[in-house]
Amino acid sequence: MNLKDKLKDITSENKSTWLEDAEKNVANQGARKNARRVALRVLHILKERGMTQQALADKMDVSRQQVTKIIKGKENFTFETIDKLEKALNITLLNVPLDEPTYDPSHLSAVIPIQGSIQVRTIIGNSFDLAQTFSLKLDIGALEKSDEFGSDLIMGRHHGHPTCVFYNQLKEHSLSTLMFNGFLLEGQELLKPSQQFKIIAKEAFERCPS
Amino acid sequence: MKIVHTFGVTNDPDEGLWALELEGKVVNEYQAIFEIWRDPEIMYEFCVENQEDLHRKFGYPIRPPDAADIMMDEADELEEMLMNLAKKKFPGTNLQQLFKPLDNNATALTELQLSKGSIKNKRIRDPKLRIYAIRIAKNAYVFTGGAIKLTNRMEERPHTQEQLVRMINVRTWLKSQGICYPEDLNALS
Repeated sequence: MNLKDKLKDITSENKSTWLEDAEKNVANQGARKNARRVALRVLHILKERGMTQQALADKMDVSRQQVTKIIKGKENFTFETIDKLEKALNITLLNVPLDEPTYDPSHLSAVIPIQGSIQVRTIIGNSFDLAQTFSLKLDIGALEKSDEFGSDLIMGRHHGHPTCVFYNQLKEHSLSTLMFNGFLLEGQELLKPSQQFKIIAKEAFERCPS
Repeated sequence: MKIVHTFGVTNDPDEGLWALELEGKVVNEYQAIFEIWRDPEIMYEFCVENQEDLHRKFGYPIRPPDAADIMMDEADELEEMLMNLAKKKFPGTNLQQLFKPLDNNATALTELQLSKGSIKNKRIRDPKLRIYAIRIAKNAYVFTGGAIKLTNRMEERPHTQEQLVRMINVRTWLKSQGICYPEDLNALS
């Protein structure tokens, strides 16, 4: 008996639906990710406050099943549910800007604080010049993840949105193309206190106190 | 114990992925592990219970929801990669490139080799999720499960130890069913 026949003998009659499932999951990745993040946030708040899921359901005036859906990341939220959740936990989940923010270097007002030793570089013409090193604190909670990154990055805020660009990319682009609103950052593994980051600093960046 | 054909060319036993189907379980082990990795509640609880391991693995104190979020992203990427392999989206890629021998010191491909897979790319430089399989032919595997691996050795934590024991049991079972590749794997790969 060859391998094919032997495999047949031990193969179940069931059909695996994983590929269809995976296709759906990949297609819905954005929505699933948002639902998952709400779930993780709610779970953490409940844990920190010692609050039960039933208590949350009562406060939201919804069924326990709906809370289960929320913490399983399966809730397809309506504005009404978001509002109830925000009020019940006294948190903000959604803050919709009235306009799409656009790049304007004059709005790059602050370096996102970072912990650890930072090498700051200034831009002189098209070249980069090492300026100085100083300590900053980083609010990593404000950052999100990226599709592309290198080892070095610059960060800033634009219209209040966290903005960061990687040094590797900087070298290949003119300044005007560098800044992205809400540029995503895989950052948390990068942002170790002992790690050195090169910050491309423009005058508009503010230095944070050591 | 049975296996279920997951993907690959059904009539070619040299290539494909089969998943373990345990008695009494509704879904196979392939679907089961991704369901766990997609469940925020399970992932969050795992991170709460394994905070010290997570701090050590990440290299800094990380909050449970942040660790869960990062690892769930990793699961999404892993699933997408497997989907792309199944659909042969990128010619020249195959399961053999995903699964490596479980033993880091192994230099040869052996019969019914315990294997592990993870995703490593620009975004995920230090993967925390592992999928496990037994290699049954040149480019064919039986998927046995997966785990969040935060320690160097699988024996160090019960949830990874369980996966190791399962792999060994499945290998024994496959052997007992006469599943063995007739040719030299190294010559074929």
